[in-house]
Amino acid sequence: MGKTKNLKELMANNGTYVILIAMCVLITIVRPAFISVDNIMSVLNAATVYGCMALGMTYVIISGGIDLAAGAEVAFAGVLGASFGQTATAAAGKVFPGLPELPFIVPVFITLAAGFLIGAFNGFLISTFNTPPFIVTLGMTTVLRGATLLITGGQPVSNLTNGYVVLGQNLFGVVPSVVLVFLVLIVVDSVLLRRTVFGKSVYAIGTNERAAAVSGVKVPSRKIIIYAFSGLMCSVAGLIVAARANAIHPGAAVGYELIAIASCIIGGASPSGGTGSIRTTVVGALIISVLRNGLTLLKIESSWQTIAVGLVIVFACALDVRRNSSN
Amino acid sequence: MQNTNKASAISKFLGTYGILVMLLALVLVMTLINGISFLSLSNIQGILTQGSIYGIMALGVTFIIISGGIDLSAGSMVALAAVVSSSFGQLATASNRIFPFLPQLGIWAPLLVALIFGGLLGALNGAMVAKLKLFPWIATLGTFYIARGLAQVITAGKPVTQLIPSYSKIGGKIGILPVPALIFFICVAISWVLLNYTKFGCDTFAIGGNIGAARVTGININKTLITIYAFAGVMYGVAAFVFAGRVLSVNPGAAQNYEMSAISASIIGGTSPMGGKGTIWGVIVGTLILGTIRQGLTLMAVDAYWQQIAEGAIIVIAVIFAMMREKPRN
Repeated sequence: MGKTKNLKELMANNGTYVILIAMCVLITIVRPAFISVDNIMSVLNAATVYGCMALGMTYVIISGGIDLAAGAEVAFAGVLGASFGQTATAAAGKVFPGLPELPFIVPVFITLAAGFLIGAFNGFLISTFNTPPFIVTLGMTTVLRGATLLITGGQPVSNLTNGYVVLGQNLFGVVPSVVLVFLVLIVVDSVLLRRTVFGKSVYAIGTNERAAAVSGVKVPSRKIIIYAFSGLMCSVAGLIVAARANAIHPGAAVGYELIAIASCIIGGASPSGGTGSIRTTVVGALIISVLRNGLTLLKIESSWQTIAVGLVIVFACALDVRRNSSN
Repeated sequence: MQNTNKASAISKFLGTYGILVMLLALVLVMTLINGISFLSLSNIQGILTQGSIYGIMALGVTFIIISGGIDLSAGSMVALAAVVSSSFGQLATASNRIFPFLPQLGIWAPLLVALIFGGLLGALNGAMVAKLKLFPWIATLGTFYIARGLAQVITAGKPVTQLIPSYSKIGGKIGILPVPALIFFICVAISWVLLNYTKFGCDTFAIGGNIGAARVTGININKTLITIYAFAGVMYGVAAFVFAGRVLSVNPGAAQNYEMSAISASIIGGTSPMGGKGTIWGVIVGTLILGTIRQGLTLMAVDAYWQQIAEGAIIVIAVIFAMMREKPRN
């Protein structure tokens, strides 16, 4: 009797951790190769791109919004930045043929600035005209995908400079540097969300926007910053995509916004806003990464993986509704 | 006094017929740019044929938006319904039959499958919204992926081809009227009657206007919501059927972003993104506006990437205008 109650409490408070561990154990039993250092690193590595997106998305979802343009932001910022980071010898496929080889800081800055500004523009449209975030960001997805194709003429941007190579391929011990970037961002974003006035205001807006406004939160400008922040995180993801393959395709990260959203919601962020944390989002991202890795190890084809992710998001949301209605 | 009366009369006129004025202005501009050939029969037929697929989808989407929901899965649903239904319309001699055990069937078979299967898919969305109480955009974002994945799985990623000859009639013309446009008009008539002259239509407005009040007045919310999404699904089925007739080779990756066009057409046509408001004739005008812009840009030889940017911008601008219309009401 007491035991079942403990189990229930354990599931209620740490359900996502239990699920993550149970999945790892299960997959290890079926495919022991899962637990090798190489494979674990590849699970982490696979989680970095949508993990970064999910960090920004956490802020947006907590504030009661959504950023469906996240995947397109990754591609746009990544492609635009990479266009300034091509080697001098990449003559044939150069987006800006006249450009000399620039130091790595230039493409990095352009990538981050592009993501930040696009996000800020989303936030501006949403807060100024009070438009439903999912429609606006859906429209922006099409705009950004078109713009990305326009920049490259539909071709991938390749032959990137040494900085990209180092970021994409260097290892610190066994840890890939992109995973390290992800870990640093987790810490920074977590502190920003939990320990700053800005972070508190994100929760306040999501819990009750009117109350937040009355108590002195400048809601419109905060919303612009929240979406800009999401754009910034997406641009980091764009940088990672480009670095990993030493090239970035204008069709990169299609559908990744869904995986980022799923990470947040599996972790326990509520789509109605007000709840969520960086810690649980990271667990959510890992659950998805483990799921995909497991499905791949089990040789299940990628169309089924698409279906699985769709099902997982629906179930996670349905569970969230149950959680909320029982409280 | 008289001036304000006049002003309010004008704004009332524009409020009701504004989009019609916009359509006419747009046609005028496109004719000035592209020459009088823009008004040629073949060009108008082109706009109608192109527009009818997302127009039919927009009819279903409009019911959903009026009820306060949204359907992001519409494009994937059309792809899945098109793939499944056209599998029932392959030639017996086709080399790549999806269902090899089926005999060759008449055109009625894929039509029936499209309608029923589309309706079931829609009902599934509706059940998630009504029973699981999911936000419509989340539920349909989930099915957006699930339906696309299923379409890929069923066809093993290859297009469904070698369809029976009657299929090409669906993409053809009767006299000067393109068949897709004819089917669109039939769907318009059905939707118009359903929305304006049935209890179902009345309940749809009531739920979108104020769901709490609707519940108090004894409307069966769950049943109505599921019916709304199922009706939209049936419309996607029709759109899928017409689509297959037009392309005659149904790719599982087809109809991508069609949900955007459908939502755009609906909102340009005056459907409120907040629910509770919308008309069927608005959807017709919205569909024609979108079609005119597309055809005009194509004739102007605007780069495909720029067209894509324009289409995204149109939906954003349409929503902004819709929300500005909304303000006085609140």
